Amino acid sequence: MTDPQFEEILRGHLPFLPADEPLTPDTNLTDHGLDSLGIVDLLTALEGQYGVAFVDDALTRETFETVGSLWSVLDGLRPAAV
Amino acid sequence: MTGTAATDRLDGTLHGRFLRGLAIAPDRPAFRVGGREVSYAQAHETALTWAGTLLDGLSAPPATVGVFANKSAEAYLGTLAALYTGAAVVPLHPDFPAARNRYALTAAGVGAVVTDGRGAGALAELLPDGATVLTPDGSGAGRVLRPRPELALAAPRPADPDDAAYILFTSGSTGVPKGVRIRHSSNRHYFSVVDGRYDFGPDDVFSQTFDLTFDCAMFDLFGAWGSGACVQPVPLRGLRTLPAFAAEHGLTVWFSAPSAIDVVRRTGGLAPGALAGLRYSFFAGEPLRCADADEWQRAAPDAAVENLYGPTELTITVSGHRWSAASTARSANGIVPIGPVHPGHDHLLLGPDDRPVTTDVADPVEGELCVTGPQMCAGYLDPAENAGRFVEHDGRTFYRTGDRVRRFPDGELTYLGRADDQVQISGLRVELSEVTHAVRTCPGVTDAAAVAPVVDGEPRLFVFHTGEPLPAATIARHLRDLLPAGMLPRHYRHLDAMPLNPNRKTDRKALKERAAALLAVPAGGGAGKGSAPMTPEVDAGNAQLDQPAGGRVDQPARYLHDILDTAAATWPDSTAISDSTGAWTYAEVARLSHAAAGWLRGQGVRRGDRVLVQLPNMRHAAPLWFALSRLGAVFVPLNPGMKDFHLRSVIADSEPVLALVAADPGDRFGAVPAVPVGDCWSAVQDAATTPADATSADATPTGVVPVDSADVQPDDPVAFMYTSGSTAAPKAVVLPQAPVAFAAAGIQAMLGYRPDDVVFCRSPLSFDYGLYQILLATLAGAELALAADEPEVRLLRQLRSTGATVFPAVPSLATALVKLLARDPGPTSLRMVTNTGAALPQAVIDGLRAGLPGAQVVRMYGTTECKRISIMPPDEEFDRPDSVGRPLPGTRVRILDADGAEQPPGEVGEIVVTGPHVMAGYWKLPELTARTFRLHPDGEVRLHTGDYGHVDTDGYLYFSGRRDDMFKRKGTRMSSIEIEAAAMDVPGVRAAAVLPPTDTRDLTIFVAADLPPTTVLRELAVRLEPAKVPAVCRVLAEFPLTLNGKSAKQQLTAMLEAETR
Repeated sequence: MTDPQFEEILRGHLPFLPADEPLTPDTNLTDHGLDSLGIVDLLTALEGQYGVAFVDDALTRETFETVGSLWSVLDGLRPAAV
Repeated sequence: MTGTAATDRLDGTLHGRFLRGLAIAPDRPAFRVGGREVSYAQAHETALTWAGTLLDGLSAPPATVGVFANKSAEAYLGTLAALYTGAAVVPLHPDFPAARNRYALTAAGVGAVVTDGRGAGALAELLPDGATVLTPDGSGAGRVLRPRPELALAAPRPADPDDAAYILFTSGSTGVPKGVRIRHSSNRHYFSVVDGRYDFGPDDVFSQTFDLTFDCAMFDLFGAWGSGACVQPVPLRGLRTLPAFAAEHGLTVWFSAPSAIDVVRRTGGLAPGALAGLRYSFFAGEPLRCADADEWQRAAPDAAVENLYGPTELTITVSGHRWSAASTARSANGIVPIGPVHPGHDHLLLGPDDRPVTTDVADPVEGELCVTGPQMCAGYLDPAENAGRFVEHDGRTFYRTGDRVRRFPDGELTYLGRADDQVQISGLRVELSEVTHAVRTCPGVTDAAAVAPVVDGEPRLFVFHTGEPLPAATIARHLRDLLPAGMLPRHYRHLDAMPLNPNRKTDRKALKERAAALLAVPAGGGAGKGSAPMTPEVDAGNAQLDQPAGGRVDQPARYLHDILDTAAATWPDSTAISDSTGAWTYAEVARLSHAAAGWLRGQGVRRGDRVLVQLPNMRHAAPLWFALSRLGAVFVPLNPGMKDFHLRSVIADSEPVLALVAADPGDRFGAVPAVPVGDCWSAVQDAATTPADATSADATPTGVVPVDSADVQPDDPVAFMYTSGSTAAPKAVVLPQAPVAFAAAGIQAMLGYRPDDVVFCRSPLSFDYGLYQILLATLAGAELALAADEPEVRLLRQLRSTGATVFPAVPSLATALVKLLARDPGPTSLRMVTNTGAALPQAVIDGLRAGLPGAQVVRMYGTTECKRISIMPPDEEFDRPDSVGRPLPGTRVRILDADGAEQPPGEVGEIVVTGPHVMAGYWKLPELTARTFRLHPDGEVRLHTGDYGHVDTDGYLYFSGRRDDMFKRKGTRMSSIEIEAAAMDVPGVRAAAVLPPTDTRDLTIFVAADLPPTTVLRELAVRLEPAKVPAVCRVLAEFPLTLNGKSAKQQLTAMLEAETR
């Protein structure tokens, strides 16, 4: 579902996630250490990596709730896969 | 034209000098900025591309090209590219007021601008429709060009000798700046003098200290570039560590305003030999003092030290004097001579009758210096400005410098002073009439006079004003929109009427004498102020503090509800407070506060009772607090995130009679009645809208029966602030009415919130900084906009959607804002960002200034025990970057050593505060209260903050750290703060926290970064003495935060202890 870059960036912002624990779509980001300031950094990192800009309406707690919610928003912003 | 002809024509141009450097040293650096080195070949290629792209995007070659950037790579490349188009460069300072830049753009007819990413947003508001912008990456709004290499010019376009090379704007007498065109031919002559006088070469590194809007910067750039040398901008940090900076960057040629010498001296950089690498040191822009030149010469023994002189109209500098032991013999007023006028020029001296003084005498003569020759400009953009600035003599036109000089028979000149009311302040020419004019436009001011007495060798701007007795801060804020920062007066005095001279004109001489007397009042009672003629008391008094005579500072409201009632009477229909669900006006808040007081009384709340209020940030908090104030009861705000464990302790400690909560709390509050605010509010709203008993004489016009507050006393507690995060028992600071009202009024006097402000509050109201925003907004009649409960990632959007003009921040919020601005640049309405909680890293301050052009960043320092200790006056935001400002008006800070002895300026000791803002102590903790709020034998209560710091001779406070932050290691006394600051300076470090050494653990630092620990330690070793480099570095992705957004060292300590267990 996701790609390795996404997972790598995400793990960098989840200090409570052990390296050997897999990410699943239901993994709760807040529970794994993503705080409100971490969201700002994560957002910047993802936008930089994928060359996209999150629209204002996507900047909600819900977007940053789980791995799956974040990926689906990000995936929707990316140009159609080639 | 032929290629040869074009080359010939380039030879005489300013950009032709760059081509010379290119030929000499194509692969050497033309400049270095922030670790980036750009070679002559690269700069040439880039400038050709930018110039070609600009020309392609314009219908015709432009006459002028603006460069909206300062001392950055884009600024340098933009300057070159502008010249490469064959146009004149118009440097524009991004930090200048928009009105001034807009004027410059229009006056110079600028239709195309090069800017950097930072400038693109601000520029969009300035540019006329249809203007073209080039940014390095094509970002920005409007008609933006992205450089396209395929459009690169084959060669720079030449320019005629009479074409303008650049257009600069200087202070004008009519209140608008004067545009000056400086021709290529003038520069050619100037640089031929430079080439003949100095031996610059490709191994030289030139400092670049001047803003590009100041023509001395043209020497920095084209002096270096004509000889293949490198241009090295010097940031303030570099100035403050100049010996190390100069050595690191290999500086050989120094050029700055003389005021830089004082900065270098104060930061310990002028020791003999400290600047041994310099071959040349030039000073210009203001009088150079002999003592300064002498000291600089000792620091730079191998440098030729020169005092250069010249107005913009005479192309950069038109005379120069090389400092030597013989110089003082010809100085006047301790000022270094300015040397003979450049070869190729003629000059004359005008006497008081505007006639040339006799020249055929052997003795020195004096008069106003007038110069003609190839460096003289052809006149101002607006020919009307030429009047009076030029004088005809023997059929030739001379430029009147306005400077009085003494000439010796061999042609050497010595500067005596300004002939008219133009003064040079920090290198900036200030026309006093322009300042006067600007003050007069301030609403409430009837008349004004700006004078500039010389005190301690420096001219100081002093404003007298009549009309309403406006606070200095009010006028200063008004001027800030009209004048560049360097032209802002620091001293203000209200007069009932201007003194008049026999001609019935304002007696400026008398005012100047009076200002000098006011500024020269010797140091008063304070200890250790030494011989500094500017005492803190006088400076503060004139600049900020004693101005609102009869206003809120001198006689502040003593009750919070009085503050509200004043606001409701003054601004009844202004929005007082808003949240995501609605807003209330001041009249409504006042009415609701009466209704809520009635409801609370019905619940049994009496004077002295505590009421817990645990709510998210919602506007109900304001009328509730004022309601409790009316009853003499105590508002106890609690963070909505407070854990049950803490909550139980707080309940036991405060023994509340009532709790107001967001939703049904179950049994969290035990025996305390806990009422959801919704239930309370339906009753309050009913009361507020039900007509009062018509027979009641007490009925307010709004229909609510007012609550009688007659029993309330100034020292009744009006709030408890519980400190959070500690594992120890909860500790509440008791906040009585009068100190809270005093502190709020003092803060407002210094910050100057305005009725049209929207104050955006994201801090919880359980944090005193958040809670006081209610009072600050109410004192000003401003709107307090409480942030909706949304993640920080929405912060910028919230700021924009609320139209916020003031943002009280803590470092973590400010950091988030900088990041959000980076991804989403664009205008906001912000005019002020204040910071408290902890020091703001310089990088964040820089980021705020870059992302929020025009907004002031205000440093503050305080503690709940007296609310606010010091504030850096907003208009001094660029001064003393390490200071936390001045004490609140009417309060005092002492620095005491361990024995209670007051320390002299510069010595670190405990920060001890006295004044009407000191709170009552800690609730039910008499011993801790007695220890912290110490009763001095003279009857004064001294708040021992447990913080360490020092004051400077001007009374500005510097924070070193908490008592806990101060420790000794390897025999060296140090503070966590300085080590953390050094870590924050390491690129890539996002946060840093130091744990001092203990018996079982050596000095440890935690950083949030993506760097290996070894890299961090290595970088720290570059920045710190060996004893201060931590033994251990731990790298985390993110820091844990407490509820107030401060990083929690206790959690880090616990982490460390858990590992080692």
